[in-house]
Amino acid sequence: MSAILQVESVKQSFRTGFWMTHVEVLHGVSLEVPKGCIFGFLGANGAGKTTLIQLIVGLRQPTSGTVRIGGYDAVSPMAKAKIGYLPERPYFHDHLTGEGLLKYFGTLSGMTSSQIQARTPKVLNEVGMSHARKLELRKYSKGMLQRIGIAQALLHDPEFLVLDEPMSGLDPMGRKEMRELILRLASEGRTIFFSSHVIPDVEAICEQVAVIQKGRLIGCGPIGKFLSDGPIQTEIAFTGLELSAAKKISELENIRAIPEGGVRGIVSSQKETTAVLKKLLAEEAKVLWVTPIRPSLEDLFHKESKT
Amino acid sequence: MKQPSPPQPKTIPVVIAIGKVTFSEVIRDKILYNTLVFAFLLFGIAILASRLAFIQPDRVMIDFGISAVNLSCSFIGIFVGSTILIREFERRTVQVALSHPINRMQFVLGKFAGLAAVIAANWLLLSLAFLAILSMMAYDVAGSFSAALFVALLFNLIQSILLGAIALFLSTFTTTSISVMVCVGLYLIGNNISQIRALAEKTEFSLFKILLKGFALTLPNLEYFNLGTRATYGLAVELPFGIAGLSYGIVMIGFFLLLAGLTIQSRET
Repeated sequence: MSAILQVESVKQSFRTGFWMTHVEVLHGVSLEVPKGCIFGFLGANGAGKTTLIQLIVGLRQPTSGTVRIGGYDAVSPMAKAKIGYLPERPYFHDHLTGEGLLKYFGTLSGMTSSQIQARTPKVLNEVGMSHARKLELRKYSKGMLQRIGIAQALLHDPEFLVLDEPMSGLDPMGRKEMRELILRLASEGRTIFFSSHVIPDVEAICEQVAVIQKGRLIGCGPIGKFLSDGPIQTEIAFTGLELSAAKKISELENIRAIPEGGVRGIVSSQKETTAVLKKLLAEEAKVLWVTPIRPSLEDLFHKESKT
Repeated sequence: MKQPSPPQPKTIPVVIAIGKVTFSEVIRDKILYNTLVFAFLLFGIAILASRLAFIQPDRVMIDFGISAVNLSCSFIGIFVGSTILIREFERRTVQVALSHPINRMQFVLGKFAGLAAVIAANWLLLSLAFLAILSMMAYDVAGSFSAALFVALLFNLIQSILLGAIALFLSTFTTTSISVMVCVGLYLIGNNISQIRALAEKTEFSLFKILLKGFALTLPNLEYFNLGTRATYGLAVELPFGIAGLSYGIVMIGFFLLLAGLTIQSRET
């Protein structure tokens, strides 16, 4: 699968303070985003997510290294024409209506009036904002602004969507709807790159993940690889054996009683699972369930952050 | 490998789109209405002064009227020009715009187009109001309406748009307040370039003389747009003077927009 985004050895520094000293915020970041995938970009606040995103959408040039979209330099109009961008906080001219905003950005994308008119109802419908098309943006809620922001990013039908914290500030229902929207957009064949510091959001929908910390990429690849890298634990639940007797099985950890009767415990490796099951069957216990517990991305993120 | 890219936007529709959004944003600004009220107050003073004048009452009214249009349009050019572009960066509304396949020069041109439209709308409103007042209040209506009066009003517009372009340029690398102060200074000096030249001739200190001559040579000469007594007394305006003023205005506006386009390239979004 060819890559739509290629970031190679990107460094970015800013001048700050009275003496305008250089402060490097990205230290040689490299990553590739394959076409057609949902790519999650994880990092704590201040890790460098927004800086890298601004380089990707061509708002600034890297101090060194290259950022290419579909083979074009990210600051070139050819690259920008392939991108739809939603910034972290969607700052728009709040005197415009939803429709007015789409007309404005549609023109900046090179669309003709007839193309904008034909496409506007479709994208407004897609993001569920048809009812607010005549309303001024100053009257929009945070969730509505996120949605109209995605509508403007979708208007010119780009193949690559870059969403900076699309779920920030949304309530649980809004987050769920945003996840569903991202999945729907990806199913139409778009590549979606979105940043977040909320790990379950990324875990729920992404196929590829990159983790950035203090301007350095500390992990990048398919989400399955991230999850299989961690220790796989197994939860075993059973009846027919008292809690005190279960505690004598040395491989079982975190043993506790189940309210309706029975005991549950955790086994920390695959090999020990077999041994525990054999012991339970020997004690004539009735096994209720054996469930693998996969490590969460959150666990891995915290582990990486500590190293 | 490079993949096929969608068609790029053309400059004219982009400039018009940015200009329209800018225009609709600025006409909601309170400063516009304050300046308009100020201009209408000056019109009121013009009527009062003409009634109190012992001789040439119509000329007093024309003088005051042209000055009111000039001051109002120039201040709008300066104040709105100083904020119009930089507000986009401060409010970060520029981020989504510049993520589209447009360049910063196109963005500057679009903002300027909106600014010019605001000044032109203000100028048209005030000019029509002034001409209506003049037609109603002048003792000699036919004698008051001369070609020079219309040229003076047109030159007011060009001067205000030029001041807007200068303010826009200054705002790309300095603060709004400094930009406003420098522009007001340029407005005052630019309308008195011949006085500076005269002072340079009279002064005996060579360094001061060089300094004054340097100012007169390099600072925008707004006297090109000042018809002075020709407008007041309805004297003929020579064609070369008109063409020189128009050409100077267009070249200077283009020059400052080019500078603004260049300096904005390095500004952080």
